[in-house]
Amino acid sequence: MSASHGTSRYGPVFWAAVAVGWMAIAFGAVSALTHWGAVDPPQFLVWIVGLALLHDLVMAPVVSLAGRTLKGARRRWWLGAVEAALAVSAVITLFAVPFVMGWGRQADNPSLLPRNYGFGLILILGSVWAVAGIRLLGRRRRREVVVPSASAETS
Amino acid sequence: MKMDQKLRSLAPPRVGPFREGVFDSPLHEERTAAWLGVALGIAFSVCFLTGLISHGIQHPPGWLQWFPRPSWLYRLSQGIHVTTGIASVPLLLGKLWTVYPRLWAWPPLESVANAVERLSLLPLVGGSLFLLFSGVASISRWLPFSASISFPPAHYAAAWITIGGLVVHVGAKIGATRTALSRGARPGDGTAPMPPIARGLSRRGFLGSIAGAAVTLAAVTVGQTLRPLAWAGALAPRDPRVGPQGVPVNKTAAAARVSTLATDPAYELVVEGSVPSPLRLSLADLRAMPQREARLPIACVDGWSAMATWRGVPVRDVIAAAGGSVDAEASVASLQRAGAPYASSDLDAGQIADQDTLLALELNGEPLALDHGYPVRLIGPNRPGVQQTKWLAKVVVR
Repeated sequence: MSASHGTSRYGPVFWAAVAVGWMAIAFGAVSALTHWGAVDPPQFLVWIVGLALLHDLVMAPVVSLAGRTLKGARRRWWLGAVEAALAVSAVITLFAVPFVMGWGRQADNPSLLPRNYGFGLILILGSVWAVAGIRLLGRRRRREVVVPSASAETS
Repeated sequence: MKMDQKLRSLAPPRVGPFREGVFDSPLHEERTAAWLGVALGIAFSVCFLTGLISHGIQHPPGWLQWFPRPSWLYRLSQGIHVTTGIASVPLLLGKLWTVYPRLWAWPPLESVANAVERLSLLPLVGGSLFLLFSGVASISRWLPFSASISFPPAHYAAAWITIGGLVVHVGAKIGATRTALSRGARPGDGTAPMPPIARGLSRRGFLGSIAGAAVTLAAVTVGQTLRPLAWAGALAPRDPRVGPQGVPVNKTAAAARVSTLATDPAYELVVEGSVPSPLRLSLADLRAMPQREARLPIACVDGWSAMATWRGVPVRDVIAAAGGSVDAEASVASLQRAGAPYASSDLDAGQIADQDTLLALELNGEPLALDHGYPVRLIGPNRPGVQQTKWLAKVVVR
């Protein structure tokens, strides 16, 4: 029943968590403030708030818009596998950016970032889409066997 | 109650993200959020604890005696820290996407408690993003921050801020999470299994994709510390097989500006402090002392590690040769200018008592490469790489 998180959601457990949680947050803030020269608290705060805003006002809307664009095809049998492969590819690519770009490379230290990360990323994304392709093949075969009328409808 | 009603009576602005039906994916729902929340809560707890271990070793509080055995413990702990952090990237992004419509919930605040809950999301979300962003940047040695932000203290402060936000969030959501994940969840109470979707990604498909991305990222990076998987480390910032003498290098001699001093034929290691007979030992003197060989990993805070064979003189033998006491403590300092980061490290009595804590002269059967700390470096069991000081200038006994 929905009553369970209407009334009891902000009970004593919540307020105890608020007390403990904000003590930890205060400890982190004090730690930043007492290492002023190494943390630069104003800039640190700009990064924390800025990354939250970057996510909420740029990344998430872009993903939502991409989802809505795909939604035009909601009735298509391939949508699920393509959505999954797109999401996985996007996250892995995002992670790979600093490696592929080699922003951390140091001329005198070849043991740092020693690989061809662009090639590695292509291999990984290739595997992701190969898995998606295999799933689609399986689904198509099932559709043809089970509901021949549905495939006629979309093609 | 009054505030409650007043806020509810505000008409929602029907624009942008406030429009009805704008977030129409059936995946923006509680059960998906709950599963991701549980996974992320576990992952962040693991990262927090292993992070505290690494911080504690490097900034030991008075009561902490870091033990030298087992020699692989720091390697394991830091490998788990970095790999779990990497696997958290898809978990966090998936979770934020799932609950994103709630950012635009109307009314924006329902009560004082609700305001506190929502305010606590800023340290949680901003802190989480900062932790993963700064962590990934750090292991790739990319420096996106200005020089006034140094990674370790900023990552440490952000960890406390994030974990505090997480505690508040768990306090607010534990009931809803339990309800959403209970088997008895029924259609109509908002926690029911989603109606089957004829086309498009199902909840299982979505969660499976996120889990797949997390496992993939872990698998293509963990080879930096797990040598049998080194071949698969397509996105690993290090290869434990690649580097001078088959071992990766963190800081080169050129970057540390010690090349001239380290290759000076007149080099001598100074042993001083509270010892009755301070010593100045040339490389030949050190080589003439009884040598000991040890198989020890070098395990960097960046999460890579490599096992190697080291050969040199046990620190305790050198202290004994200077007449130092058996339960002495010591610090070692490199040829770098005083105050350079990680130019020195401390050894407590337990570390010194371990006979594998060496002033190493050789690595994998050859004299140390300059970038590995020639002529003499410290290597000890169960120490973070930043405390395996290279290019030693002196041992100061306390």
